[in-house]
Amino acid sequence: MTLEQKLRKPQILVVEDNPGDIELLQRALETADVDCELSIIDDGEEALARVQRRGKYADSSPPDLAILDLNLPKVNGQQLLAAMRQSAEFDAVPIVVLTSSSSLRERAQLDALRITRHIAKPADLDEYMKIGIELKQILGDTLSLKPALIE
Amino acid sequence: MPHSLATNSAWFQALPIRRKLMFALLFTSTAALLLAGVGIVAVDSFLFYSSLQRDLQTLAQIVADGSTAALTFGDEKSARERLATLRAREHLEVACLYLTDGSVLASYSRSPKSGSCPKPQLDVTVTSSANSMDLSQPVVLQNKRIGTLVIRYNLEELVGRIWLYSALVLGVLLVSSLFAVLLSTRLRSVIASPILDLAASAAFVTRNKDYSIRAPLQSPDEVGELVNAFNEMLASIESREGDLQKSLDAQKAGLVQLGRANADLQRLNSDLERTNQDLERFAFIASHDLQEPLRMITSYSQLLVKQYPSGGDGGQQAIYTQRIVDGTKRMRKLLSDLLAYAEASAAPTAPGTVDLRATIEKVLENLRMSIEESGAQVVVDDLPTLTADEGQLNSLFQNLIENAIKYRSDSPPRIHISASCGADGPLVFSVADNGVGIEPQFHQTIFTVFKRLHGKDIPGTGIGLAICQRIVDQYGGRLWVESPPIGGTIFCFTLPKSNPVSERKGTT
Repeated sequence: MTLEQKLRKPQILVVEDNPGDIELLQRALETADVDCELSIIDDGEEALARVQRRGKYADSSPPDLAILDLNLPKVNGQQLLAAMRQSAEFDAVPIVVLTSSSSLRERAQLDALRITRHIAKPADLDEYMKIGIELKQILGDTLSLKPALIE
Repeated sequence: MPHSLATNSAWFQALPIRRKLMFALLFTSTAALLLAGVGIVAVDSFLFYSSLQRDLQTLAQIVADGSTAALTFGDEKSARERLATLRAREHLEVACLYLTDGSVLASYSRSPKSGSCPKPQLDVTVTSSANSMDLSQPVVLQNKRIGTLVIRYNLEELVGRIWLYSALVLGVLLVSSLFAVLLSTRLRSVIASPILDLAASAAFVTRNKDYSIRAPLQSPDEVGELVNAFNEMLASIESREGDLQKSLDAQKAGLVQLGRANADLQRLNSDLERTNQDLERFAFIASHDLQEPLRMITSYSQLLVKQYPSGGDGGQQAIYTQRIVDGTKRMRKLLSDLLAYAEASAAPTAPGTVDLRATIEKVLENLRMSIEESGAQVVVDDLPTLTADEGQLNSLFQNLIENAIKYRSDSPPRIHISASCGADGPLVFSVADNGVGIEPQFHQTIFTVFKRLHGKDIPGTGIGLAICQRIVDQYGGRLWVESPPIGGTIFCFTLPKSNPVSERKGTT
């Protein structure tokens, strides 16, 4: 493991098509003092290419955390999740699913998939900012398994 | 032998009628002729025999009387001459004159084959064998027996007579048999042919299922009656067949109609199902997708106030922004209620055994805060265990109890939950309270989505009862409201008894 690798910031993959949510998420992470590198994909098909390392993502390495909105254009969130579970690199990546509704039905469907956390996007700004703290915690738990990455 | 009789009878039964007729005639005529013939022969033989006997006795008497002198003097020549007069009788074979000492004085033989004389008897005796008759006649002079005349008469004549008669009877028998056969052929057309015609008619009916033909009537006797009965039966079957055909046609038409109606119903049903699914999907998508922009409005309005605390016009901006946030929050609540309502219409997801007592306990635990706050008293009677989706029953009772607490009067709420379990019909549940009550004109409208009878003073969107309505609907039950005269409200609903496993003691 090179020094460069050791010193790099935690990588977070965000699959989200709503610019409003992307900004709120960035603010939440900033508020929680999470020093990370965000790569944002706003299209389901592209996200699938990233997971399956196709095209321009052929040389990409898996992120330390993936944050998904399941309501995506072209490829739906369920397909994306399934692809992640089939990929050797992504299988170990913690996944946080952010949904915009509190539908009981949707929740029941998600419980069947192995995801780390399911968070309903809150309407209240202060509540939204608390997501940052939660994400920091999950990231910390993940990285503690790989102590070399923590400075 | 009964066995051979039975066999014979079976054999006879199997014969065609014309043969039976022939045999009957033959048997009858033969039997009658045989009896008559045997009788005639017997009587004739007897009469012939009797007269022969009398005749011979007379003859013997005459010869005996004429032989007294010859016997007295032992005159053999004269005795032989006397016996020779018997030659006139063709069948008289042998005659002898015996002396009292048993020696033969004279004898007569018709031919050398005639044999010797039979032995003399003391009295007048007639002895018969198969083909001869012997007669012994004492010769008496002045009451003294001086000898015996013995005669043997050949009965060939009688036998010949019997044979002749027998031949005659046989001849007549043959002729009568021939006549019987001829007669049976003639009778066949009279008796058998109507029966054969009837059989042919029956076979035709069976083969062609044509009940319109009739058997020809030839004679008004028993066969005629049979033909009439058969024809009447055919007429009755024909009319019944016609009726049956008519009713079958009607049934067929009915079935076709029913099938059409069924198909229509099925189409309507699937249309309705599709419409329902579309509606649910619409409600789901609308409420789900509408949440998204509202959230943005809320979050960014708040962000705006946070970033730019005073807009320069004395905090008005913050107040307006707060109104935007309140409005969107309320909109979000409405949408999530609508989503809950849409989801309540879905089929029961997990039907299982639900212990209603435990369900109510859970509901009361959920509502613990508002129960304590309002000082509510909840009384729960005996409740049954039934088969349903627990989440739905939970939601049903929670909405009703919540309403009872929410719409309370000035006094602390008292809520009474009970179930009546009749012998037949569904289970009837009731949730009664002492709250503000509902005026009768609103008894129907309260179950409509977002219909509220109160202002903002009591929070709520008006979805609770609509959800209750949909849940009860799903179990084929009925939900209604009653306003008792003493005030308050009773919500009643029925659920199918399908599987009320047992009943438990209630809790207070």
